[in-house]
Amino acid sequence: MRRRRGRKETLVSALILVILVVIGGSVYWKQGRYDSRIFTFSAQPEGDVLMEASALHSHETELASFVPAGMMPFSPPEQFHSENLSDKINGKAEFYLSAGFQDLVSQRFASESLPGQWMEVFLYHMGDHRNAFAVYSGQKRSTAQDLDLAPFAYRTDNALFFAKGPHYVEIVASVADPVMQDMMLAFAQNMIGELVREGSSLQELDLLPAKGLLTESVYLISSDAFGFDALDNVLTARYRIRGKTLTAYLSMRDSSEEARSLAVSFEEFLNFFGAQALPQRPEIPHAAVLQVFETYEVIVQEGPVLYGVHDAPGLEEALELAERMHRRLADLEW
Amino acid sequence: MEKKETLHRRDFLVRSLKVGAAVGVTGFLGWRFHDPEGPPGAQQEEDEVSLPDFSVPGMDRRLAVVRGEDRAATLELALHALGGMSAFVKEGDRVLVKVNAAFASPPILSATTHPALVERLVQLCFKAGAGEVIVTDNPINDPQSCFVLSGIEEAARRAGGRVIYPRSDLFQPTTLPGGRLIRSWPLLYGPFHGVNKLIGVAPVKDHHRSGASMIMKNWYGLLGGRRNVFHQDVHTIITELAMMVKPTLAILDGTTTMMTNGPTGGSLADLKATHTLIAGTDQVSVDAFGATLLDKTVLDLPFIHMAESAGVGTSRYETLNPTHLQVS
Repeated sequence: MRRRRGRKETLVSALILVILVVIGGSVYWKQGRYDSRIFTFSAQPEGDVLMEASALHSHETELASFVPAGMMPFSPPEQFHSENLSDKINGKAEFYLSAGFQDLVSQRFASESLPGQWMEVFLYHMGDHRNAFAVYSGQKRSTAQDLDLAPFAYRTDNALFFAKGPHYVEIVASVADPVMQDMMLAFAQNMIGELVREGSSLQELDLLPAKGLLTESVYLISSDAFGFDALDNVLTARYRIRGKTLTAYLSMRDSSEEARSLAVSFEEFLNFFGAQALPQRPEIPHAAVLQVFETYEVIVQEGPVLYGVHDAPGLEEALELAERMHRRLADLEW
Repeated sequence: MEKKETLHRRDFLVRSLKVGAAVGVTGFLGWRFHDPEGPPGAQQEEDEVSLPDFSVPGMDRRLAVVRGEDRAATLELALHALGGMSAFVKEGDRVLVKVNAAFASPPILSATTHPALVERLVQLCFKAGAGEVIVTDNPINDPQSCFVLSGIEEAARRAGGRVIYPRSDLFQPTTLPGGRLIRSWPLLYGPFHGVNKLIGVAPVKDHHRSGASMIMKNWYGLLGGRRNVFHQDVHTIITELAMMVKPTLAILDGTTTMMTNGPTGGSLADLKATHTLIAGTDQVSVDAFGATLLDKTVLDLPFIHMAESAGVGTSRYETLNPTHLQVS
């Protein structure tokens, strides 16, 4: 005897059929618009087309609006994101990507009166001010001349660099020329007032002892500091003590517990690579002092701060530097 | 007791017809969508090309290191020490000069092959009797900007060379036998048509991923496609490139070395005047010597050891008894 279908059964069946039709339609639509670059031989990436066609994403990245008198656009603006950053800067892309890179806008500008003199402006959006400082400090040239343009700004004979808020800016000239230097500075001055201000300071910078500090050596490592993948956001700085160069480091963590845990795991990491524990010193309570072959490590945790000395060539100098850091942090309340 | 349902013949036939129709429609759609040729990538084996060995048959491994500031002068002296350009380029030869034109950056940054070196090299090729000299590269940035702003295009043309930009139709797939990465990968092959000599000429640079960019890394510019994927295994790709490309001559420009922030640099502060030009027939030994200009050793640059292990050349450049000269 034939069973009569219920209304509910009919509705469910119809719904399933509709879903199947939608899936089938989607597959058909998608396969008709598939990205041939994924499946087929592609002689050249389509980056150029992408770059030229891209639109600037906000007012502040319209670089041409900052051009000083006497300069004119020399190329169209180009925009790059994480997938194609290497099309612009090749092997250096990884450095930016690991520091939180968001996007890059670049454009060339030429002198109206001096043939062959031009400059290229690179405006990197790094997500936040810490990331911007990381790429700024990681590339700071040792022979640079500091500028009061921004808290972090300097220039060399042919280029000008600064970090402000989440932005890192490079202006690179084709010649080392005083006129072009003035142009670069004017461009930067026009630009800097328009850039986002928030988060321009780094609290950790004030925690570095001033004595013996090689100021140009301050560097914020975003990730994998000292080869240890759990150690990120580490501020490092070099010091000279009795003719020896030592690297101090400190990292602000979210809590004392996190800092303590990280200190323990960093010590274990060094032990894995053959570090030998040395007796603790009373000057720096709770410091782990290690010898790694011919070098020395000091690891200290105070409140949410993990700090110490890395890869030091001398034990006494390492301890002296660690003690300076300890004294610098001693007055702070966590 | 549950009543047993019976299937009538009519119902059976109707259902069978429905199932048959569904199978038929599905089969028809499958047949319609079937591509008997498959995606283009699958049919490339017949089109694949490979580069010939461009080294001079029977020539021993030679290396010359010349100190001096003037690139044209150091190049001439280095070639003289190697037996003269005529030892490498003969009457009627078609020479391809693979420069590093990776970036649209000015010559003062030393991120690209210096135009003065390109110009003199092309001139010397013609002087030795070359019938044609082609200058090419597949840059990172837009090719025209790179060749023009680096000064390479003007230098090459001034010396009589022909600059070939990397158009899409100049690429053909290649596979390195035994290679892991270079498999059916687009190679800038068009400029090699009719060429019988290959000269690599590159600057010495720091490189964020590989540690250094010199002769072997410079062959990267012969690849097309999304080659940046190889950055994850950069030492292997450099090794495979060195295995694939057997040049006539390698010229490494360490007149100014980019010590930091490579491969793009950006500031004169990244550069150091090292006043050295290295020329040789063994690209591994040329790079091994170049590493010293970066204050690095072979141990710092795994690709050198890997290329040596692959039989490309020797990292112990001193075993080649290099000629050391100084431009007066």
